[in-house]
Amino acid sequence: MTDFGLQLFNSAGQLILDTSSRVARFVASGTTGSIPVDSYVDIYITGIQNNDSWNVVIDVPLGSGGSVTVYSGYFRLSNLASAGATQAATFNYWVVRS
Amino acid sequence: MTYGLSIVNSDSRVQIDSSYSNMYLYSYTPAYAASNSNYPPPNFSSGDLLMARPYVSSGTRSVNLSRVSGSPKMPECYYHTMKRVAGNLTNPNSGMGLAVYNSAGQVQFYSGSNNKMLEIASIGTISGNFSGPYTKAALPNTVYYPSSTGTISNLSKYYCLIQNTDYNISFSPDGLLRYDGLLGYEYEWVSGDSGRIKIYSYFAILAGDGSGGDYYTAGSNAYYIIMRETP
Repeated sequence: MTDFGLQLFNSAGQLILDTSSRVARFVASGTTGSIPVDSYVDIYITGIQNNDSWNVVIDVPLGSGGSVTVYSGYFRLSNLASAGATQAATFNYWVVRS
Repeated sequence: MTYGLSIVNSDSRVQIDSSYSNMYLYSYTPAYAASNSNYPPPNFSSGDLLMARPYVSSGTRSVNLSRVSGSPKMPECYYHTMKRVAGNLTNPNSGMGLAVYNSAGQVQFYSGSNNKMLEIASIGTISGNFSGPYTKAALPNTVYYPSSTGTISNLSKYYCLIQNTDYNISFSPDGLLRYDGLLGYEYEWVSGDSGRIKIYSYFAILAGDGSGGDYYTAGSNAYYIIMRETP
């Protein structure tokens, strides 16, 4: 065993979490209102930053063109014609820290 | 953080703390989804993550939802449903192990119920790619895990986030243009259980009238997540 961190074993003695493991932690989820083509909504999440520990996942409704950009304190979810949007769409989103 | 517990991994990433809920597997045995079955599958709730791998562990197999019409449909796959601990697991009051609570008294992490976990193998973004008329994305935007030539030895232990994937085909009102979009994963078994995972993103416009059609670009940014089952 290394001299720092946490190791977690199951009842069979198998290692399931090691000191190098990267895990997903739940921050927020929700659903937007209807976003017209080439419009966007800003969703505010406490502490969110544009770095690789913050991850925003959206679903892809039929006829939509979802695109996410993360800023300090919020993320912008756009419904872009350039990404395939042909109609207004409502998106589900998930925010995960890792 | 001014109080409470924080456990950091060797890359200085937080694994467990009292600020955000960890996630756990709804079932340690992955569930089976038949081809073209309904999405979301049973026992899925808002906020869950749905991680999937192909049902058949050989050859080249795609894993993505399809939205050709109506509601999304699942591919034939095995999948894990990951739920947040807070609000889903009952606070333990006996037994053994480690429990971490938030300031509201909800358990954020509990080791006692864990026989398996999913840890992140790769996470990142991929942007859509352009394909001109008549060409179905000759060079789709692609990300490989572990690399375009490398392999991992136990590919069937790897699951991909499926809920943001998409394969759809639509047509212009006059039927002369076909829009063909894909965001998804492809497992490539090379030998035994060794292989790699390819992530695609493209949006193609195919004209059916011989005119060459219009010229569009596709630029959506999507996150992908690949997780590894432990042990």
